[in-house]
Amino acid sequence: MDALRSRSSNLAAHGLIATVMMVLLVLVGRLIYINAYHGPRLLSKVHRQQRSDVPLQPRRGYLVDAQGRIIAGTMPRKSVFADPQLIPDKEAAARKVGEILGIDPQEIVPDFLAAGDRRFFVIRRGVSEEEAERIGQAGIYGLGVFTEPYRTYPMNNLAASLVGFVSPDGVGVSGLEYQCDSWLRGENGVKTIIRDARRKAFWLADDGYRPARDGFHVVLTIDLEVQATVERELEVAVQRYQAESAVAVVLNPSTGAILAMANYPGFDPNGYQDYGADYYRNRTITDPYEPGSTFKPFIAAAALAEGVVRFGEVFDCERGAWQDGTRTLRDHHPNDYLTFEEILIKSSNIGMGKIGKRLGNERLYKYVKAFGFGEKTGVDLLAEDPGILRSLSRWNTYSTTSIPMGQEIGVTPLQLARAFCVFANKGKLVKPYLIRAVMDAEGRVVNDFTPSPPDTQVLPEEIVRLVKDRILCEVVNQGGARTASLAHYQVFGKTGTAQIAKKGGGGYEPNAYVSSFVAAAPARDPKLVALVSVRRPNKALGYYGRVVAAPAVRGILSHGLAYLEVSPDPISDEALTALSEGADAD
Amino acid sequence: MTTPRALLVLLMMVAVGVTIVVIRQESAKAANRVQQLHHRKIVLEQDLWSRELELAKLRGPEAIRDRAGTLGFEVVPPAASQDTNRGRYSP
Repeated sequence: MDALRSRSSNLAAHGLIATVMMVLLVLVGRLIYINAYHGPRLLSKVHRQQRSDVPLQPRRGYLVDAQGRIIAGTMPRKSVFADPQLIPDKEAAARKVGEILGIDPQEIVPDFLAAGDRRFFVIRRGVSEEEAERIGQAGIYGLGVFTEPYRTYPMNNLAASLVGFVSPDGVGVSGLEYQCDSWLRGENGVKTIIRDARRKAFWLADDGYRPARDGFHVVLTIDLEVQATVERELEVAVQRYQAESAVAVVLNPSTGAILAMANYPGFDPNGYQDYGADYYRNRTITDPYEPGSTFKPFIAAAALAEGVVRFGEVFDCERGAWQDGTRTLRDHHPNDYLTFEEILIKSSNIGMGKIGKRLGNERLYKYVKAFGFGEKTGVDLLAEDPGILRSLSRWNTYSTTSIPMGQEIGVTPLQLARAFCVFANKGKLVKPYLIRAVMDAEGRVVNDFTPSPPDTQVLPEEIVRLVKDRILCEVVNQGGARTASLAHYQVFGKTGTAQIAKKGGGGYEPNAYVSSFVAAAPARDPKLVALVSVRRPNKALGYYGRVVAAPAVRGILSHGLAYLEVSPDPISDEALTALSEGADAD
Repeated sequence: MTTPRALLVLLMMVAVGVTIVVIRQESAKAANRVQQLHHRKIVLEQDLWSRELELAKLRGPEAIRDRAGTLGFEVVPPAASQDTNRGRYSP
């Protein structure tokens, strides 16, 4: 009996196991079938249901000055978006959103309706934390808040025309933002999220995370402290003389590094839409103008180098009016006889015309080209204008006397400042540059753009020293530019008051001038070259370069040299004696 | 195979199943935690960006000048505050 029971029990167990095995076999078979015949389709369906790719936006790189101060940066902001297809009652949703954000609902509804198949529609960018919270609490299906990086310019107007700005989508459209976009923008990343049945993000897929690569930072040669000084000086000059605009460039004469580049009036890139396109232009490289008397030192130095004039040589300056062929050249202040040096110190057009005649067109042209005029400086900025220099074959006898006094030629402020660096750099021509380095987000240098020292010798070192010490220093000490002299540093420079040529040619506009002053300091070892040009000052208030532009250059050099901790010039024996006598008297 | 053996097999299969579920649960928890940490990292990064920009504003020359003015300091470079020519350079 027991054996019979044991046998039937075994049978039952075997039957159970066989049944389980059969069921398992059927399940495995079904699994194989589903995998083989419907696998790919079902897998993609599962992916669609469970996985979603979320783009990871990189942080746009910073533009920083030479001291690491951020000029253009990126920070997060909250924005409200809608998926119009998911919104059940668009009008009710628009009313609610309008109430929270202070927008007329009638403005939103047409957008919702016009969105068509779009699943992502930004209602407003940059909402406050409170507004974002209220949108979340409103619980409107199809509406949400997301965080996105946006570009901001913490220095506001400072260096704006240089830096430019980005579009609302974060793409550089102007200035360095446009030019350096490929470095700054970085690369998008992606994360694949597995969602639960309620579409709530649950976890990251195993293979679903590719981080965004943040944009590179671009380090400029600009120093914001110098830049701020320059912009302040321009503002004062323009307002005091009711001028139309002003530009300025400050260079390190031995390296060509641009320390400041300014345009006034400028604009605030945080709200660039409020300004016209004219404000965006970096006029220091785009707008050539006749340099007037600021051009004279280049020709005078060329004449010395060619040996056609000598120091102390006397020229007849014709009492202020010289008939040269069919043309009459005039001086603002008539002179009888002037030495070669005095021609520059007193800025005589007639004297320069005569020096030009001694050089002749070919040599004039050769030196004008050698100083870098008529061609781009090669600065690492887009939209640079090469200036206006007609080919030698188109020069005539007028050119021989016009070019030496800075007419018949168009130069950009950067070209002029760069050429003046020759007097501050032992006769060598530098290549100006603005981008010093590119760094990755961790601060490692990716590209170093520090240029090699200049090797183009435009003038012999001795000629440059003589022109600087015996002429250009005297322009500041006893010539027209005394308004630019500094207590502790010897400044050397040249003023210029150029008439503005009529558009389309045919002479000059009456009472329209560009007042300029280009200078460097300290003379013993120049550290800064500064140029200020003020366009269309009110003639009744003053229009000479020494009146309008020289004080601005003085302010720039004074502040800049102190800021750069340039040691003052040695105190002369006479000054020491005077000081000690003063002390004794006390 | 006896009934106890069959039950043992079933029990082990259940144990394996339970273990798989537990492991799955733990890995889900870990993945969820990673997801939260990643989100937290992004929030902190964004906070850092904001602070960097706030700091940049405070480091700006105009901001420093304004603050110095508020505190009663006169930010004037030494050279500009002098009017003597005692440092005249003589070539």
